[in-house]
Amino acid sequence: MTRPMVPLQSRSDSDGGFSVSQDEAAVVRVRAWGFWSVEIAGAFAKSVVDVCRAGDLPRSVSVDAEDLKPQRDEGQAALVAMFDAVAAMGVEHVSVVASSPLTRLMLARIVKGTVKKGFVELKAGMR
Amino acid sequence: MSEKEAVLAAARRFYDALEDLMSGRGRQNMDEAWHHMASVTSSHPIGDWAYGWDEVAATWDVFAGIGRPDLSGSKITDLRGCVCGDLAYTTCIFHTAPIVGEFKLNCTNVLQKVDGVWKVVHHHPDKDARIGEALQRIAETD
Repeated sequence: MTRPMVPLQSRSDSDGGFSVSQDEAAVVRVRAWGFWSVEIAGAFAKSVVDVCRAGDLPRSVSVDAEDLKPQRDEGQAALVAMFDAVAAMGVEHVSVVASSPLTRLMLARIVKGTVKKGFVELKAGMR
Repeated sequence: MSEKEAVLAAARRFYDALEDLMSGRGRQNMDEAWHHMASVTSSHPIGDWAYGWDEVAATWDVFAGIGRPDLSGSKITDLRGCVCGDLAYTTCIFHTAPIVGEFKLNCTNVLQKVDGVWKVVHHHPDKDARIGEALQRIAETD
């Protein structure tokens, strides 16, 4: 039986934003780009959690951060909150693809400092 | 002190602040080296352009986040400057810290005098992906 697609959630402005959806393979797909305002950063973790809760518990969360810039404290905290929240929900794995070496450095520090080892897999993008 | 001497001193403060930041002594001096304006811009040996102080500061946050004492040892040579009114530019050769690989990068900085104080408003070094690879290894293995 085909799962219904969980509605997309998104927030953006001229500098950056994110979108969240769940596909038929029970993977929550997140796209994050640009530089986040305080408002967008504040909405991020809840939006991902809402989509995770809207259907069956997803096994994994896939984050396309190919176009995400390094973030200030609010954006970093939003990413940490998302990783912690989906781990607490029972999601098994998060993968993050980022092209910018600076963004990957930011993510590497966040992942190392806040999330259980191996839960978040950080990959280099192709851009 | 002449305007050119003041510009060169401001550029040296920027690189001293970069050394502080990479050595794990925090971002405060880097913050003070820049005018915090929406028009400032920066790139680094790795990554994309940052536009406006918020984005520029976020990139320095990344380096501050991996800063530690054994990343110290960067220096600049051949610092030169040119002043045109309240704007000036400098060029220099930046030598990365030994642990990163001792790369040499040509760098250009633009400085602006605002309220009588010269500070950086634009920073542009050569790109070098090897620096990103070295920093990523350091960030993941410390």
